[in-house]
Amino acid sequence: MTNSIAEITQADVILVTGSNTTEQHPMIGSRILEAVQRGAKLIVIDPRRIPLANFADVYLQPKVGTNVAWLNGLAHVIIEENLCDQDFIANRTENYLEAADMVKKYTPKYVEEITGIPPDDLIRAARLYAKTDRAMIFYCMGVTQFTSGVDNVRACANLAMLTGNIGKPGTGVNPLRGQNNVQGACDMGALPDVLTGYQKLDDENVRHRFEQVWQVQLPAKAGLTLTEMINKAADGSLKCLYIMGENPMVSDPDLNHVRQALENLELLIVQDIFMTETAAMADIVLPGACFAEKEGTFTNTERRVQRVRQAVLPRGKAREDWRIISALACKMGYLMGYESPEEIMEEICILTPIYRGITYHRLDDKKGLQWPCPNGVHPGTPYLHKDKFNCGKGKFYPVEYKEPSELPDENYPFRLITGRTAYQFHSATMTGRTAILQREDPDGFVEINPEDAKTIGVREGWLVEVSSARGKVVCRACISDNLPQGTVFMPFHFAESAANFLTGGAVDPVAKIPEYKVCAVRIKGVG
Amino acid sequence: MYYIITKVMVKAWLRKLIKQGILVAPTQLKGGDVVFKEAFTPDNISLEFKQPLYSVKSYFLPQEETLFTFRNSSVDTLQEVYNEFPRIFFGLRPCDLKAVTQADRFFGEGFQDSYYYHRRKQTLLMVIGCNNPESHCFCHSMGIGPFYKDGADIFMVDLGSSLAVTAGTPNGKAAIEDYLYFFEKATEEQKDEIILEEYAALSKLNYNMPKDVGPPDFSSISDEFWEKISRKCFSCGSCSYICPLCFCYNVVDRQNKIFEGKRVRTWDSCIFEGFTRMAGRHNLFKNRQDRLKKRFAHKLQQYPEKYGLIGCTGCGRCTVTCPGKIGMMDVIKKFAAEVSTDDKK
Repeated sequence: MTNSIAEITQADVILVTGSNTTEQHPMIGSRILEAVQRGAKLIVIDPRRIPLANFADVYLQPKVGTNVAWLNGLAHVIIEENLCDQDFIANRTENYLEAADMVKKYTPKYVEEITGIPPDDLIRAARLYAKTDRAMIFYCMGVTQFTSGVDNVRACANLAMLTGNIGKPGTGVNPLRGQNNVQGACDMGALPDVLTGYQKLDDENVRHRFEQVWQVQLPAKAGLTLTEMINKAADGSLKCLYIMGENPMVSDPDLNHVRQALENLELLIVQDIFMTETAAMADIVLPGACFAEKEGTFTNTERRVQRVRQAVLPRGKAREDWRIISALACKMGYLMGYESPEEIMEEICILTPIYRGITYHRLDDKKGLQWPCPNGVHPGTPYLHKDKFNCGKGKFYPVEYKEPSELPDENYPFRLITGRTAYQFHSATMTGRTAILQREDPDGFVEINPEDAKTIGVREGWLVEVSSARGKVVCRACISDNLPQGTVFMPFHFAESAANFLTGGAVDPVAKIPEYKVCAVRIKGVG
Repeated sequence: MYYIITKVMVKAWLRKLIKQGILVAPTQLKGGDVVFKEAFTPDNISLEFKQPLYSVKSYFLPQEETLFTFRNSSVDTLQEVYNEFPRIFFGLRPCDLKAVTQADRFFGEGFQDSYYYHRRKQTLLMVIGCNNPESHCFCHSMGIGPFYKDGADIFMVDLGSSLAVTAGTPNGKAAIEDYLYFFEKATEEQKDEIILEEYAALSKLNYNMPKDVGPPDFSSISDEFWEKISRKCFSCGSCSYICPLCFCYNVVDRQNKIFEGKRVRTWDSCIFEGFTRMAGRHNLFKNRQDRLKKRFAHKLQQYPEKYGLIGCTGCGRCTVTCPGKIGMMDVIKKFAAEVSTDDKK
């Protein structure tokens, strides 16, 4: 998030898209409700009529996969009606004219053709968003998990820059992170092309600093992304995978392909807290420690680094991840002699400018610190891009609407959205083992519009077979008018009826994120 | 009969009492939260008496407890598991006390729950009057009040540098009189001070929830009201989990060791759809509105019918935890506001 959770209640307008906030980020959803209670206007734009839509001043229901079209449409209306923040555009940004040129053709009428959003509603949303000084955009996987994921994010950023809604409290472009420490993992360089704190791997000075501290030669070539690794494993050019705390046999797209890829490996090592579907395929399973069994920090969605403390000792043969990695490194001939998580944090401070002022000592008596925190007395940064963008001027990227990689046809007439439910978490490794949560959401289902259900000939609770060009699963039908006709929804948590047998392998050309959110399927009753 | 003990000596007194059981007392964690925590010495307990985040429910009805184990699919191998440590609860609030005495009725009337009673009979309840209610407290409108002490073994009042202490049961009396050398008798001024403290606390509570806004008559609440409120319900269940008066539980069997199973009791919540779901996924309380209404019906109507009291202690913890801001206090206030606007019409 560019801004902070505490600022939500200061916002005048909140735009939520591609995020079922009250179910997936309930604490943030709670703040949004509080803001609405205080009089903030809420715009919800989502193909599913999510619970938050009940509180929206404007709710738009675009076809899934058409984000760029309506985002450009909003920008078109804002420019046409002269609602832009001209000062902000002139002083803080560049490349405006090209972007303005691009959105020219996205008239409300044209947008309606693509997305199905009525022109008047689009115009209302645009006016609402543009006519305030404090408007926040929230988005989640419903924006990023497309072959146009990067374009979607750029279009969101364009919208914020166009109206000057960035670099101030109660504004910003705020992606919600899906796990407690996914922000921390990215900050620590768990990405193929950067080191800690997003320092580019291809920068020689950066590499040199790390080489000095670690006393090793670092490769300058960027590694592979997750989706690329699976493909390389399938074609045999990747021989070994070491997977930590991830369950690709449920969470990756096109599971039949993933299974082939993992079987093709010479060595698969899985480090996890339970015997997951992926761990069951491993040559070696390393038992990791769970959150309550370890010391360290988690970095949350608003960039806040917070201490976690060990509540219980790891059970059985389980060890904290850092101990396992250190021991493994020692066996391989590199003496990674850390004695405690604090020592690792000290190294993070030395090597990472945005974490430089974050020490265990400072995290002890405060509720964490938000990076960038460049020195030991810096109070942390509640919102980014104040006065100046990190890269200098904010650049408008003109983006063109592109269709999703797979559209419905005669054989597969429905658009499938995959997502989550409130009671299961990700591949259900943990929640599936918790009696009450498992009872709430015991099995997979497919949400179908009542009209579609009638056409297919199924009723609530009946079993249906959902199939795509890649695979098929059998699950329960759940009739719901939260979806428009022609669109269905499935949660991906459940290994027995895993939605990811259906999803495709197409990825965003830049970020390589898979297109989980849309593929074409066929549905028929069973038995 | 009030005795006075200086705060300096409180921990020395507890050091004596602790020989009879594990101390459970408010403790400030790193990061600032105050919770009830088991301690083998009284060194780190907090004597500031802020309301702990959670009640002591989990010490009487653990979030998860093993009832018995069994082997080889055979009933003959069944072995009950009791958790039988004597415990001394120090610094309970009157709301927490009321919840424990109500739990005695819930787990004792009709069928007696032996797991609960094994734990309960070995406890000493040392209750502290609330001088300084939090902004979400409203125990006075639930028939309790900041200095409620029925059922407490020992009741204490914070007088700044000392505590005024009085016994309510023979066990409590022994815990004071065995160590009488720690105490002095309260003077008349100190007794007056106790009364003044109670008045001060009551006036704060009246500010939180005015006297004329009490718990509503459940039958007078319309379905439209529940519909509106339930839109803000996330169905997270935190209200029930945090409620000191919610005792609903679920029972499941789990594998313990390779050839051994265990029967486990866990907390449950009527806010969950699975709570009332029957075979074939039939459910009389399918949607959130029905479930929320049912929860409040239980607290505001069935509790009074069955036990003669409201199913809420006014601790206000649900107000703090509820992400949709529809805890008991909010619902009472929202309903009162609705009634008063209706009257004006």
